Amino acid sequence: MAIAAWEGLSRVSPWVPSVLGIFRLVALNLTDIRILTALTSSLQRMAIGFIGVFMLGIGTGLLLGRFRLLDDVFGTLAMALHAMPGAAWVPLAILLFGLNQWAVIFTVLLGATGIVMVSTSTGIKEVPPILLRAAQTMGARGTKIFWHVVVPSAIPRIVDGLRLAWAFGWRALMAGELMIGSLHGMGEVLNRVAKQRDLHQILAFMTIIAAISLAVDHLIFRRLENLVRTRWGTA
Amino acid sequence: MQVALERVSKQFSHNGDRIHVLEEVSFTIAEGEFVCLVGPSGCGKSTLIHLIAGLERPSSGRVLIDGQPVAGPGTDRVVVFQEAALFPWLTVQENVEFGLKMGGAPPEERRRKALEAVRMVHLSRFVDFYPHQLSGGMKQRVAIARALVMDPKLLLMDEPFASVDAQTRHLLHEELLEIWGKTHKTIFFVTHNVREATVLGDKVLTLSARPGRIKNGYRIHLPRPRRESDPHLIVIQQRILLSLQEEIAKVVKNEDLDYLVEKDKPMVFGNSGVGGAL
Repeated sequence: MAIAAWEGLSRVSPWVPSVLGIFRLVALNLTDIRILTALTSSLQRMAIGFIGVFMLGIGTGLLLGRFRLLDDVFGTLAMALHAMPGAAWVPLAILLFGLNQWAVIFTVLLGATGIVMVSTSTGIKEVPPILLRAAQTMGARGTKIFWHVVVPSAIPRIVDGLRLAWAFGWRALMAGELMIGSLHGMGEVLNRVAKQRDLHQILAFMTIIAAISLAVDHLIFRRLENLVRTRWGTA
Repeated sequence: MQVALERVSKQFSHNGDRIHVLEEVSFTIAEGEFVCLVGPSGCGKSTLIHLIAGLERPSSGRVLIDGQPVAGPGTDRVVVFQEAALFPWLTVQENVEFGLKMGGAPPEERRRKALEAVRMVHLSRFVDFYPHQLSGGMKQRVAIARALVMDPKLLLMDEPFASVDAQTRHLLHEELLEIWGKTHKTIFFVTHNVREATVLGDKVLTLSARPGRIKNGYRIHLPRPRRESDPHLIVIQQRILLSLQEEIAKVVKNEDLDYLVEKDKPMVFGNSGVGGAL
């Protein structure tokens, strides 16, 4: 109903975009080989960046959660990193790496690592004390308790963090590509379309960008989260 | 395994206040004996378990195991906690194998021993289940199996059946006594349920309200299995309850006092009370 009303309105006013028109453009663009290669380049950068986020975020999060001293010293810094919008890293990234894809990957890395770091260390600090006591009475000590009790009990939190990191990273990726402008990818395509001042094209590309982020979230992270929730019984 | 507590006291600091949880607690548990401890809530029952388990250290006094002071947790003394404390990401089988794995036992031996322990608590059909798929009573059975598999000399049980329904509890009592009969383990069982204590124990100790002291000891010679409604048992239960009632009254009185202090805080009411404001 709402779509039909909107569609009717779009026929009358040039300021109201037609939903059908946008979807037609989305379909058209997704069969265009140039757009598809741009999409692949963007996703490649995202994948490289995300692998970095995964390793760096979990690694540092485990350290912060494990060692009180590190948390006292770097805890605030981790929160600051977590609070920094991904786009704010772009100028520094360009300065460090120049106008190339490493600048974008760097932006993704720093835009999304914070949330994984914070959620990992939180998960570790929130391990129920009774599980630690139970493990102790069964002969587990220090490192064994950490790997066999503390880390598994933090996994639901870590997965939550990774899921959010995907969205944060995707935003950082677009910000980086848009601001660098010349790099082959979705950001650059969006830049080009913006110059043509075509409302329907701009909205079509925004739809594609949102849809891809959502699709990955649904196909990978939601499933992962559900899997963990059923197994850990936290659902 | 023989346990001896010699004038054990325990204090905690809480927001700058010192709280005396246990004061000069002394008692012994003989080899193979089933000793139950009852007391009002918050009197330090769990602390006592933690001290014997080596999870905490006494502020003064000594906890001796076979004549040796406790230096820390050990697999010769395994605790079954009130909340079962199973690892939610492991199956029943993996939970039961946990202690053996920590001890470095080979997988085949782990599997065999775990299955044996699971069979003892009648959960063979549920080895592949995760804890959240089990009922409260089943979780406690897994916790017992997880403790048994370590073959401890002393089983420390911290209100293990407090959160299961009466029928299940009755069943678990029978199973526990059966296991005790087969394995001759020394058991220290803490509860707030007087009937539970008298049905299970060779000896029932009562703990006073905070600071916890041993108040009385009752030896129960009746053969097992015992019925809760056995007239001999009821006489003992009445005596224990009478002794505990004074302690529960103290706890309630203390809580009332706290409430009065809180209530007098708002200045509006002052000395006139609620009535004065009308």
